Amino acid sequence: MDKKRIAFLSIFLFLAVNVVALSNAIEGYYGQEDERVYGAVIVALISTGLATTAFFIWKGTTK
Amino acid sequence: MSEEKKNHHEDDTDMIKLIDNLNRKDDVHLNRRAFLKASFGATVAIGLATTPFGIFTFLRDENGEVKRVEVTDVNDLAIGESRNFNYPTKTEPAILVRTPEDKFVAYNNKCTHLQCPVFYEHKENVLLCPCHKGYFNVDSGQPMAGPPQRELPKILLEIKDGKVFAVGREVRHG
Ligand code: FES
Repeated sequence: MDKKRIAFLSIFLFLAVNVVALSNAIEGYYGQEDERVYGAVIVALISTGLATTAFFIWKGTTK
Repeated sequence: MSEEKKNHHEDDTDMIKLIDNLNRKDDVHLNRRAFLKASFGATVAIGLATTPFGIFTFLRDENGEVKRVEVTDVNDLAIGESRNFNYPTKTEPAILVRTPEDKFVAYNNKCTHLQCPVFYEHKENVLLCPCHKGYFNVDSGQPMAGPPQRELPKILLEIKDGKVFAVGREVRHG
């Protein structure tokens, strides 16, 4: 697989990670489990950052 | 290429015009790009949507909701008795039970079904919600029978110098 394809597919992976993180943040918030909320926020921000990187890798190698 | 295009334009046959429109490779490419852009946007939006929860959790901590409150004297509560108190705020009801095994346990005194107050049944050693006959385990706060599905929030206790203190609350536990 070339770089572009990996970048393309990884965005969906990060999307899935963020969905799980958001649900954890919500559950943690209402369940008053602070660690869970903070963990989810950290995971989500990292995965968003990586998704942005992947997006630009993909964009840079297109056309 | 431009010459080829020109030819097509000058040609009046409808079919050829149609074929000219169908630049399939470009089409696929643009769709895939739009799709990825949308997916990326969703990823960022969902990722950033977690931050408010983090911020609110932090602010909630700052407000110091979890605090230390003296509930009662150990000697004031006989084995198998219960007492109501308020924790963590002045308006939130809680129930303290001294179980037959001489352990102190406390829970939020709101049934997890529809918020009725629960009572300690000494004979059966259970917490009973009379509204719809919900039963909770005294030792764990877990629902045993009836409509409630979630456990009663547990109030963390500390016994020191013959006094019972409430020191925190766990909404989900066990
Ligand atoms: S409110 Fe407690 S069982 Fe319905």
